[in-house]
Amino acid sequence: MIINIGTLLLADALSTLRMFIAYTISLITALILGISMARNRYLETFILPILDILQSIPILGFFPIALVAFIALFPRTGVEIAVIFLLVTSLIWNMIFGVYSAVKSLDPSISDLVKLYKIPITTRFFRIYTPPTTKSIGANSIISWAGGWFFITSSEIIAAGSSEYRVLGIGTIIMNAYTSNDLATLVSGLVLLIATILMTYLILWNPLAKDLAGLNILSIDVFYYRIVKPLVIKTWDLIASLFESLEIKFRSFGKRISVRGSRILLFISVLILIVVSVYYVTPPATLVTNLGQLKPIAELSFYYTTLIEILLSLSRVAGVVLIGFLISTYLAYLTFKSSRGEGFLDKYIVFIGEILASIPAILWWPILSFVALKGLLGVFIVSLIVFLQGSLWYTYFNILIYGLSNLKREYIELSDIYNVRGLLFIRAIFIPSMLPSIASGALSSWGGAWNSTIVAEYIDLGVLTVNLGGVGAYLDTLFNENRILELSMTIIILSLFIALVNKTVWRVIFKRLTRRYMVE
Amino acid sequence: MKNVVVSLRDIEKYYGGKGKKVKVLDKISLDVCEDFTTILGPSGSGKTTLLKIIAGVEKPDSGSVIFNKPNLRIGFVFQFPTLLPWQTVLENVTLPLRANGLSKEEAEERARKYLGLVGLLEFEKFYPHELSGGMRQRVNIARALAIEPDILLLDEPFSHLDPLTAESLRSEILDIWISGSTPVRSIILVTHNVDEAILMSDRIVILSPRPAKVKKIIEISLPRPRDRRSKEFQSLEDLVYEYVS
Repeated sequence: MIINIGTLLLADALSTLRMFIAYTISLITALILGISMARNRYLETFILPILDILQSIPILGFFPIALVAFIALFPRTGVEIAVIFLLVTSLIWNMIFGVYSAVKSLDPSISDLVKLYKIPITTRFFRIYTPPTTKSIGANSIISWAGGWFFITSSEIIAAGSSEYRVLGIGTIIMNAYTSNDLATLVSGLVLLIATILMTYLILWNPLAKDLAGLNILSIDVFYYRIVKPLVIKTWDLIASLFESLEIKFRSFGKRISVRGSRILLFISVLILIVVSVYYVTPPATLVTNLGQLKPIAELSFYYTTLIEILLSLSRVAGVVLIGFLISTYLAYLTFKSSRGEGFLDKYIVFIGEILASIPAILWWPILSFVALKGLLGVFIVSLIVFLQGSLWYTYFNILIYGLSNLKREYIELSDIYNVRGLLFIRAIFIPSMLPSIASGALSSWGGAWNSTIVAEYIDLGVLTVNLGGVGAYLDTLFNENRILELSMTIIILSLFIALVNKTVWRVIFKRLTRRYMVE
Repeated sequence: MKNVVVSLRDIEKYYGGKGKKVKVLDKISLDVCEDFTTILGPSGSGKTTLLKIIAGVEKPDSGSVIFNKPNLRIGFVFQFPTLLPWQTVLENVTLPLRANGLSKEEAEERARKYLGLVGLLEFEKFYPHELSGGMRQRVNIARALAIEPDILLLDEPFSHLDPLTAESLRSEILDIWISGSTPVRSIILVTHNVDEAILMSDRIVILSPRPAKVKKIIEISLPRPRDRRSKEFQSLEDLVYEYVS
């Protein structure tokens, strides 16, 4: 049966609309959280590790819990909200870290200025701290946009236990056609989806990135310059003025409670975040049913196994992040060189990445199963590809867009004059110049890699299921065997482990970022 | 006539792109000898561009730069210090040396020598943001000297410093130049400060406003150290101002 073309277009439009809504929510949240974390030590202490846990715990597989909650809360629109919520979870993390890292690497004289002139909070937010984050937001929007489309086929249909919920959208149509072997619909759906993805990049994100980062990227500029840019600038200014005048009114009214009030507000928001994340990570429904039997697992062997699996995954995650960093840096270097000469790499490399990053998962499987069935090496290659698909793009776009645009002209002239080339150039000038982008890319990439463990360590191709061990595969096994207690426990241990690494490794990296970037 | 170190022949340079082209340098020809040459001109006249063309960082649209021997080493003192914020003072100075193939030890030894010359030896482990503006500019100078250049190019190096710091750096550079403690054979200074030009140089090349042409070359044979209040100094100043304004 060939699907009605009108339905197909409507579905595509609905999916695109969902993407824009999810994106807007992610952007606003990212700005608020990212800036507050970078400027406030207390918030940084609490929220950074929590966000790291949220981005790292493989949520997709345990999503039904959030769905159940939303449907219970909003019976009519719950499914729609749940779908958008799921999209937000695949868009938001790297955007927060992008904003955080950009503000964190700002010249500290800016914070002196803010203190000295007692600049109002809303002015700080809208006019001081947001503008310098735009490059990073541009780069991270491109990744998030790809990430959202990549998951569109899995986010519009949600299975919760025996019941299944779905919304009309291009992802649903593709999945339906796939399961019912409707090749015509499948192909037209995929073609429309890919066309939509490419168009949104060419007319929206690429001109944006080009404009912000001053790089030569393939794009169609008219729509962006005529409509989007003026509209966004005007809207932003309008909202900013509105909030600023509100703050002035509020200030004269509540001057005395402001300090204590803001502390309390801070405390409450942290509390809410903790509650939300606990609720989100630990299945509330199962929590209730298991409350009677929820006792600490006594066998030491369980903790031992979990720890071993986590360490095994850690080695893979670290390796994947490193590979992603090396690939991205090398490509960025080639792009940089080509941008100074006759090459064409600089124009196309971003676009090629966009295509590869956003091709829906469903198109990967036929290719991957072919490789996986070629033997053990094939399985490892597939595992690596799945890992990279979930993590490489964060370093890739952060470095290629945000990073390259941070290369200062005078440092390049300096290298030309003193003949600093090759490896020395990469080590002494290229990489340090791009450090804020590398740090934010690597942090997201790390989360993405952990997130990928459930699909990369436990490869289910229908005809073939491969368990490569590691905490991701372990979670899959526990989930399949319905061992909810151990599952919850493992998630908690993994969360603690990630928080620990966050508090040690990432904290140090970001601290360095501020210390060494205080100049010029 | 002293030995010519570098010759500029009919250098032309345009700026801008489609439909908005501005001629910056107009057939500049000049011989730079083993002495202290100052290029003087109003701001925006393309002095820095000319210096960058000599340094090889920018290419002229036509004309040529001819050095009297191949592989001349060039030191460049930037207008702004242009120090890498993520590297210490010592690392900043050793960077060009490492790029030229010196080992870490050799590079550090050399860097320390020139850091000593500009009086910053005890600051080698500091980061640029921990130094004052004048100290950063000294690091910039030490970095340029450390490669032991044949030609030292100075791009308005004193224009962003306070008058006192600027004055003491001027005499330090002159001292280093006169003492012959470095292999520098030729210095080219770019400035819009007439007083500075007369105080420091053997020759002043005055450029016209955009597009820049060589308007006049004035030789200065006053003995050093020069006294700003002397009659000769004053009359030279009058002479130079005649061509500048």
